[in-house]
Amino acid sequence: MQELSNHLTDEQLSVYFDERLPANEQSLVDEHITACNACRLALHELEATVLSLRSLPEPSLPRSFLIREQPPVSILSRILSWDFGIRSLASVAAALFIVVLSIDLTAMNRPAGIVPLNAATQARPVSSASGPLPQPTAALQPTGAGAPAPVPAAARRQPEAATESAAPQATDSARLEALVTRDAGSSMANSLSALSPLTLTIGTVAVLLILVAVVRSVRQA
Amino acid sequence: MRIIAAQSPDPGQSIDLMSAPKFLDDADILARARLGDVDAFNRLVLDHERPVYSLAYRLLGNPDDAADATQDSFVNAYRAINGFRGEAIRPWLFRIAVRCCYDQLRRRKRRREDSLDADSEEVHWEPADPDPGPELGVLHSETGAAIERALQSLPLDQRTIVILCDVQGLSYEEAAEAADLELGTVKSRLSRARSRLRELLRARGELPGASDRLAEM
Repeated sequence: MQELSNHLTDEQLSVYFDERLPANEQSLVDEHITACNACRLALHELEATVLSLRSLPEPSLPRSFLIREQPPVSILSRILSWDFGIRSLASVAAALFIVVLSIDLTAMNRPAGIVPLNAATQARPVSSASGPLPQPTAALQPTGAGAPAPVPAAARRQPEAATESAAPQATDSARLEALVTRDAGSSMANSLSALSPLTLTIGTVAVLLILVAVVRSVRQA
Repeated sequence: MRIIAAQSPDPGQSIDLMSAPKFLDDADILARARLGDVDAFNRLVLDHERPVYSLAYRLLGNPDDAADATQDSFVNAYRAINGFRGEAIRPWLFRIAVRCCYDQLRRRKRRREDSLDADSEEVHWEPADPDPGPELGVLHSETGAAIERALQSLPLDQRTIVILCDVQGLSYEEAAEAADLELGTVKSRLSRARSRLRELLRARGELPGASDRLAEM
């Protein structure tokens, strides 16, 4: 059987103390402990340490840890509880808001509703952005005594376009930019003002309720 | 169904003490507890609350936190007992308790970070009871206090294993189950913890018996 040449490791000592070494290793360690003062001292110190730990008393209990079942909470009292109620109300208000909002949007998207909102914003940028139009040509002038040919829409805008073409290009760009910005803002305002007061009220209430519910949840967390 | 602590002020006393008959053995009590019988489960609580509280107290070093962790452990154990398939309930209860203690330590660390007082992770050991009576004399003797302080100075993973094995007396296998570790990890952590404790106690002159015994040989 091979003899242990070095001192025992901490793990060998610990497992040996617990008598959990394999049988062949156990006898080797027995022999080594008998011969080696340092390992014998280490083993006795380990033994004293573990005995001290085992002799530690259990601390006295500060109270009982028995458990009991709490009677189930009734649905009515849950509904009446503040947190549950505020969440339910917020959900109902949000659902109601979606319904009335979709009704409003459906009404706004009817063809009749598009014209007043977009007519002004479409015509002007097109004419400005298209730049100076060519001067009327002879082919477009009414000739002869025949019935006058219908004048195309572009030709009817020619005088205005010709006037604008005289203005400097920089002025056109600035006007266009101002127009687009103003239209975007007014479009948002128009959209909000197009919503019914009922929709706005429900939406505001829903947002407030959701905010209250979120703040309470965050505080509780 | 919601389970809450009974909050009886006196340890060892129940509110409507255990309608479970006294002659039932552990297996019967366990079987009843698995079926959701609270009274039967409370018999288990009475049997194990001291070691579970002791484990929590030595892991956390604070009686209040230990009491909270112990209560959480039993509530969680009641909720999970239907899934208990082992033979020995103590390692299983200890496993739940160790998790609750780790949760408690995480909460404590978060509180310290929130209060910008995160200067040290060391557990500040507080005596469990300022007037423990004569039976706990060792706890507050010089040697007992030195051992408690040495325990608290160990890293948490080593402290857990040495408490499970040497203070609570679990086997390697039971400690592996309680700490959710491999057997080899238990052996190596236990040996490191013991070695460190030995050095600490030797440095404080708390191991005179060992050299005396060696001199006798």
